[in-house]
Amino acid sequence: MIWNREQYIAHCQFEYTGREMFCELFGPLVGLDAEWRAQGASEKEIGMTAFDWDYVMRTSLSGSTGAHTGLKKVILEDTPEYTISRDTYGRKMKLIKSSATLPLPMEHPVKTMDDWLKIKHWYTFSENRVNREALLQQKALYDKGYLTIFSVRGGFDEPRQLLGEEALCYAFYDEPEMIEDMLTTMADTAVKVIERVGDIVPIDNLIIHEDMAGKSGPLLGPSIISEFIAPYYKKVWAAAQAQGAKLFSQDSDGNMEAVIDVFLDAGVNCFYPCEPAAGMDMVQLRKKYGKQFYIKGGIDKHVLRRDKDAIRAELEYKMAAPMLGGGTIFALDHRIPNGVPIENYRYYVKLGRELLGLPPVSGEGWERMAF
Amino acid sequence: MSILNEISEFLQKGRSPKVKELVNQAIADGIDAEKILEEGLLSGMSVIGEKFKNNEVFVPEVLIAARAMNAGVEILKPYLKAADVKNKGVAVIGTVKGDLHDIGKNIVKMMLEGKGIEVVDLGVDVSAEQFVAAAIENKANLICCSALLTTTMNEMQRVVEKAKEAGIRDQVKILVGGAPVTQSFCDSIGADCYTSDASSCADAAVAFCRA
Repeated sequence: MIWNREQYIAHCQFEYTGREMFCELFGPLVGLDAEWRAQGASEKEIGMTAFDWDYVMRTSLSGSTGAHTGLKKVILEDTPEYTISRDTYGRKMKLIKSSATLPLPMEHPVKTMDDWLKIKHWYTFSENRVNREALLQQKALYDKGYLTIFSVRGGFDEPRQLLGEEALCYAFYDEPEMIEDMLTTMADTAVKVIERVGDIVPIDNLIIHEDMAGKSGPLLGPSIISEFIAPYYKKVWAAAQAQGAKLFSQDSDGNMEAVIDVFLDAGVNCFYPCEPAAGMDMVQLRKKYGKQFYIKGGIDKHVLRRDKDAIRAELEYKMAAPMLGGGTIFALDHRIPNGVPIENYRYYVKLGRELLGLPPVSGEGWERMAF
Repeated sequence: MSILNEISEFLQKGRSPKVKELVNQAIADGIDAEKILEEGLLSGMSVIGEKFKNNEVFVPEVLIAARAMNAGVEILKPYLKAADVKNKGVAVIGTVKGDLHDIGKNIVKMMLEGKGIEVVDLGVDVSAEQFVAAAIENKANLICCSALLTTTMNEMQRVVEKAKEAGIRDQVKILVGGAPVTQSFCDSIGADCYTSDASSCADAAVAFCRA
């Protein structure tokens, strides 16, 4: 079913709209298409549309808060095994084609405060960060019931792009003024962009990408988040709220439990994809936090590799009373992994719909819901 | 507070210059280098490892503590060598072929070093053949394999197979970890140990080296 913005926002705010929401957030992992094809899956199944997924009509608002470097991506070397490129941050990147969908940096542009000051202009505000023509068109979509989403750079993720994970972790202790300056600059720019975007189109959903946790917990603890990152969140969230935003969703794999409270305090009201393999149990989170945040994802993707009994056990546990009636967007906790038989996936969809009280698949449709 | 306790405390705060100063002072006071290592540096790192496992400290705190430990160890090295103090074991570590993620592997490396285990870091995108060759070359007790991607974790099975083919399977314990890895996966590929966090991995590694 295709949802509109009112239905979606109401559902995310724990209002029962007469229907549960069952989505596929990301789609298949690299290589699964070949596995499914060999097992006789149709092209529509491989493309996800055969499963009649729920999704909301949405538009990503045309304002940019990230790095404006002026650099273009260049392929430096392309072999059957890997691609080496230089990205828009000027970093040399490597993609191993057989195993990954995203290239990873082999170097980073910032090591010291001086490095940061040289590139600080990438993040300063200019009017060309806002595409007024596009926003006017998006206002028309908003009027038709599209959800408007606006993306800001992660308070951990963006400095990580500049320094790398480990160097950033050191920098919170070794170069705190640099990190503060980065996040202050990014916040000031984001606020100005949000104000200008909001003048044309109301913002429904602020989104932020962090990916800052593994299965043993987040890379950063509450004290560093509270000192460095929360002020950034609070500034951008206040600006977005002033433009109508009700939803603030954070994308982070891994186990974020140790830092949920500090991010709630900073304004976040949705955590996804809520990864069970990392120990995130959405039923327990709902018991602990109630309606303080809505959840997207939460269903263990790895269970689909096992058997129908395992799938049933997972769905019967997750698709139960505490999670129903709004506030949950049921979905796998990330991409569908390799080794999931198409038969199991079909069973997962059929059983999930049954347990959620949805009618059997009758149409076609899918949009990524990872936001 | 004894000077060894002070070393441990300042290490836990990541205060490298202070740790260096205190290690030098402990040596000047005539304290045995191995005692400084065990009761000052490794003791402090052990506390950090436990706190990390319990989500009481996080990666930045582990990194700066490990840096402080290494600063102290550098000072102690000639004394440890002169006293013929042996490490507690040798581990080769790497992220498996096809996978370029390294922070998990690096944290395990720090935890292993914090237990007095010598670590040979093979980096990322390491093939099964490279793991086994490095284990033979370094007379390793342990092979530690990390993977973040479900698409690369099966390389760990190849590490087990190649270790068998090379005739060293009885001499090395193979430890596996990373986001998609589970105990059942570890069992299914015939590896020796899976742990869900870096600190537990280091504890298991020490137990294997003692056995």
